[in-house]
Amino acid sequence: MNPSHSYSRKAEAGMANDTLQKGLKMIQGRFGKGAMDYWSTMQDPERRKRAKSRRMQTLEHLDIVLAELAENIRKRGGKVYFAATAEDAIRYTLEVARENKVQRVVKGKSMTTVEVGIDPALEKAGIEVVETDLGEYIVQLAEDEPSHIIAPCIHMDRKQIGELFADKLGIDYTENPPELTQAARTALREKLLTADMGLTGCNIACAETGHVSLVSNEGNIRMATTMPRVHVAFMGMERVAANLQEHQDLLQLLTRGAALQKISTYVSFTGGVADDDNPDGPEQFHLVIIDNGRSKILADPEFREVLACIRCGACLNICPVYGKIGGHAYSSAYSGPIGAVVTPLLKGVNKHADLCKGETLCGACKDICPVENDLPRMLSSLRYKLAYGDEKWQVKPKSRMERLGFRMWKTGITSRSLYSFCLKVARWYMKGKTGDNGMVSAMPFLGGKWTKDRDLPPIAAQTFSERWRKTHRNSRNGSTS
Amino acid sequence: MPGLLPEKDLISANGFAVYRGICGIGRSLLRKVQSTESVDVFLLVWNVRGYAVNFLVLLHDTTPFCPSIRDAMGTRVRFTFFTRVTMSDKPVVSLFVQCLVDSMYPDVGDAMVSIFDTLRVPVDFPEQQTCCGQPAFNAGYRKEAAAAAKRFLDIFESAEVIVCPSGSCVHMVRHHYPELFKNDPVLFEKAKAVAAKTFEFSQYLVDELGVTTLGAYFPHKVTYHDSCHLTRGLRVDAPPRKLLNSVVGLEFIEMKDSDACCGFGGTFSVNYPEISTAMVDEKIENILACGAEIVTGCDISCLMNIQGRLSRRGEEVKVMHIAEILAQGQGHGQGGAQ
Repeated sequence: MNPSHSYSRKAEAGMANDTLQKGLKMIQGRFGKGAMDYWSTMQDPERRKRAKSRRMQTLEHLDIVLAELAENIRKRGGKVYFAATAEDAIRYTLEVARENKVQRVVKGKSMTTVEVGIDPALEKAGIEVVETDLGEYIVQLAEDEPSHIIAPCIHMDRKQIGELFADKLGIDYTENPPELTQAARTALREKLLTADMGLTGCNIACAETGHVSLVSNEGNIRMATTMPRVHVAFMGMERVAANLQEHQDLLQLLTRGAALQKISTYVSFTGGVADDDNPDGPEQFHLVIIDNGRSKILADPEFREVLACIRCGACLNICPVYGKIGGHAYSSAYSGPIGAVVTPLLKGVNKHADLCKGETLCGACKDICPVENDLPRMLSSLRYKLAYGDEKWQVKPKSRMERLGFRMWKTGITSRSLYSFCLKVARWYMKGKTGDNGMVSAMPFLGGKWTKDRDLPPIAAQTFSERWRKTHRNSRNGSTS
Repeated sequence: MPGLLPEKDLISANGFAVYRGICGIGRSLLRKVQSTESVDVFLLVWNVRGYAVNFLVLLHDTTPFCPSIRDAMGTRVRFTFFTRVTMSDKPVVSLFVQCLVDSMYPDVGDAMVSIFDTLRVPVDFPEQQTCCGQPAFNAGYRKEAAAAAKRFLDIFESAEVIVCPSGSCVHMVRHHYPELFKNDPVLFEKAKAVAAKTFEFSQYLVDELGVTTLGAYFPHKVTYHDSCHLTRGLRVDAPPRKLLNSVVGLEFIEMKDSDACCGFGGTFSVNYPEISTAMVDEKIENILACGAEIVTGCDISCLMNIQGRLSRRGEEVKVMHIAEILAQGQGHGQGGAQ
């Protein structure tokens, strides 16, 4: 399926989905506004700036920081694998699974695993994969896709979930949330107790200590990382803090940005294997550090900033476009404004051109971002590449017609006389089309897209320039006074 | 102080420089004198000076050295000599009316002129202006946008201050012009200089001129839409509210999510009309819910979007630019142009 064709279609489906609309309104009203309120009143107003500058510093020295992380993880008995591509990550994980005769994998919520596409690969190898985050579990049971980074099943309501559980878990229909949660808990507990491998993402790794931090509110992560024999953590190569100070700032910004929490209910620090001093934990720990296009972003100063993202999802909670279309239209693990920047960069700018162009550049995402990422600036840069093509990013010019249109526009606006002439033609044309309400309701070509659902005011009988020449200018020059 | 000049483009560069120089000296003198009680006397003297300056410029431009200009000036020059100088200690405002105001909403331009007249702020309108290039820039067509920007810089370079009734266009000039020319030192400096003197209308009134009341009368319920680039790009949200709250009879009502995007977004509105419409519909729900009769704002493109959808839906709520409201019944005999 070509994502560029499906964007508008999926967006329309999202807009027509009342349940999704309710969910989006709720999450934006509560978390988006809440985060903005918090940023404006927090005691340490410099924290975001500080975190960003530390983050950029770490990214500048990412090779050193990652080497330190790997060294410290290995010291603690963990294994580290650097995966250049998604295929590498899949191959390595399958090998680990085969070696350990894994039959069941329990997952902690992770977008990187979705980006890599590990689930279908594991399933193809005959391994059962079970999501343990409640939202992800629901989405998995429904054979659907997550529509929000933090709240994956925001597009479903309890009725739908009740029907789903009745169907898939064999319980009596109920739409009572505690009962539904209990049903999921019962089903998941069994999976967690019998799984051979836990597969999670990584919210933030810390190079100084050699550990991986995972936040959750359901306790599923703690179980998925300690109960199975093997724990594999997928980590985007940028998700590392150099030291504990940076780690702490990011963790606090993450839980605030994601769900207004001072700290999430559970924070799991994992990294090594179980030993005599530390009996809880897996027999094996594998950290898979994934590039998959990130080093290309790192190498481009224009986009490096996007790697500072801590995937809190705050930008989704305020974006007016996401707030209408929901997450499915982004055709990626990463939805919302962050997805609109990072998906094209990771998976192809032309392929995801709609994501680059489908925003109003309103700037709300920049304001809410805990690390102050300038997403609108990067969207604008992506559009620039789409307009003329770009060798470095292998972008082809998106549309010859559009280019031609803007060339004509340029000719029109760089000559006042030609511009005035065009206005006169438009005035003449629109005069005949103006309705009783003084507005034009049908225009041809591109204008037709405007007038599909909106009216357009006609060109004024006298433009301001004409008025200035006829009235204002003279009254100012004295010839009429 | 356009009263001194028949037309900028008809005056020789030299004459203009002389005029500007004298104006500058006069203004700084006036600022000094204003702190004393002798303002009236000074005004009188300055007025006389104004005629003299006019005469000087006239003499200069009609000397045999520039016969072409003398011819071009024709009869208007003679009238100009008798022009009464508008006394002002404020810089000349060059209106950048923005293309949509120029073509579709000229009343907004009239309202601005009228307000500046009331405030005795000299106004000028560089007639060659068209568009700042924002639509092209936001769509990614930076080469075309740069052509528009270059032209804009040429036209407005000599302006003292530039005032525009659209926040997003000001944002374009202030933030994106320097970015467009970051690899061209000459244009970059020029862009930065022009950016520093470009202001959005309400911002200029309140933050630069210190005006918060214009003596306007407008007995209606009004709500205000915060345009994205104005509120988040330029951080201007208080000035328009101050101005609206000063309007006699006006009942100001905040709508829910006043700073949420209206869905316009330039080419976005025609590339993704369904999403755009869904966004403007939410804006309209919030406008209707607050019970206002009028929705106003400081960016004509957002207002055009809201108006277009309101009109299609057949809603009663009217759309007005903030300048139009501030020009209503203003002045109290201060000599407004209305």
